[in-house]
Amino acid sequence: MSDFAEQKKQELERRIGLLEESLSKLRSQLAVVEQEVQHEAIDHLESYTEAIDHKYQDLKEFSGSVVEELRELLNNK
Amino acid sequence: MTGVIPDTANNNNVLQAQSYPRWLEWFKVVGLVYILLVAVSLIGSGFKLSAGGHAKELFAFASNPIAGIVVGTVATALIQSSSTVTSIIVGLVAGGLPVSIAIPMIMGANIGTTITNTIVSLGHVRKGEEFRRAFSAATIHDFFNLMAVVIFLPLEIMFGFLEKTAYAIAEVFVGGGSMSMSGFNFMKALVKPPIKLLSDNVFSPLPDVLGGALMIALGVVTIFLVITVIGRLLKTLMVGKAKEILHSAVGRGPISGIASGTVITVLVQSSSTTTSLVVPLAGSGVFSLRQIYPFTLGANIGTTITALLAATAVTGEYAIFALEIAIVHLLYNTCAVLVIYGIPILRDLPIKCSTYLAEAATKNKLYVAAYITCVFFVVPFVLIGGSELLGY
Repeated sequence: MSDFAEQKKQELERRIGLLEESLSKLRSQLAVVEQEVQHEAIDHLESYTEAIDHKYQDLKEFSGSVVEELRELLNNK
Repeated sequence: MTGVIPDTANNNNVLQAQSYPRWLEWFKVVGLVYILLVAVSLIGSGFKLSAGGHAKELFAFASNPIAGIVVGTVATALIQSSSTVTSIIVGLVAGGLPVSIAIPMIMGANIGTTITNTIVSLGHVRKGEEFRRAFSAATIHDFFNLMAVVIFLPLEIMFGFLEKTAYAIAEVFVGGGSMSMSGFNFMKALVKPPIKLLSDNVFSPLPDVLGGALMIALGVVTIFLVITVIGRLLKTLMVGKAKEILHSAVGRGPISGIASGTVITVLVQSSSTTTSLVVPLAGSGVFSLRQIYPFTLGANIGTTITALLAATAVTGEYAIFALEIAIVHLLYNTCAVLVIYGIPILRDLPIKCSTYLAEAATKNKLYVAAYITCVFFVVPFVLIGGSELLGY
């Protein structure tokens, strides 16, 4: 391998190393942001427990949506 | 992301519950647990009275394991409480129902309980991407429990490893040794008086079969009501503790997720509550499907506490079998987590299936309707027909 090719290879390896280091830092920062949002959502957990009591409303809403799609399907035929 | 947090102004129940003295709420929970134990014992006594020595013949229809699974699945899907169904099964085993017939029913209860969080996910149906995430978070539990049955039911039929292992463990606790529960017999002293009072004064004038059937019916209704009320009370009492557990599990990996799911389910005594709780969290995109997955598996393990608790109410000749079926529930769910989540190829299957189904469901809601109808109601009956035709 010529000196030029060797230098270019080393330079590319150095730049890849820097990019990987930056990527790793960004990933850690992203994880911190994600975890902050998760902690914030957990703080409002009691609101989510209410969701379980709305099962029949959920079913009603879903059946309405299914009927709409069925109508669309039949109208297209 | 902030839009995902619902308005808390409507949580009147929670605020109302917090204004009551806490000790009073806990006193209610203890009282309800006592009534639960009496109800389980009542089912056992009623079943013994009405079936006599013919318990096995009475449940001959469920000796086909597929039929047992269907009974457990459909009963749990209709009642929407696996704790109720497993407590009833413990009561029936306490009255003489063979454990081998009860095991598929317990497996079926695991499948049936998954319908609750699937229904909760339907609340997001008009929200596109949010529905896709919520529905996949709900159905990952379904696919996991279906896989568990596909793997463990044939193994149980061939080798009976759950039944044998659970019996060996139950023997340690209920057997004749000095460490046995029968040695203390404090449960008998607590539970027997109301049973004796009811059977001597209310049911004794009736013929055995009718009296026993009425005792079973009263036990079933009581268990259902008690578990519903306990669930509501614990949901408000334990929400602070659940928050603490979840906060501590964030960013700590799958083992921590499984552990937190287990502990929260033990605290609220309902796997449906735990698994439904994470559906909106996943729907909003705050937690990914891979982060939710171990948490729902923990719910499977945590829910076994109710059957274990119910088994402590049983005394007499069938006490060992009642404890055995409760231990089967614990072993089955623990082994399923170890095997399916422990083996990478198997671990990814529920993720792939739920992701694929959720994508299809987002495009066409008819897939959702077909999925729920088929998995919980149509396929079970087709399987019974098929297995009967094959002579099982």
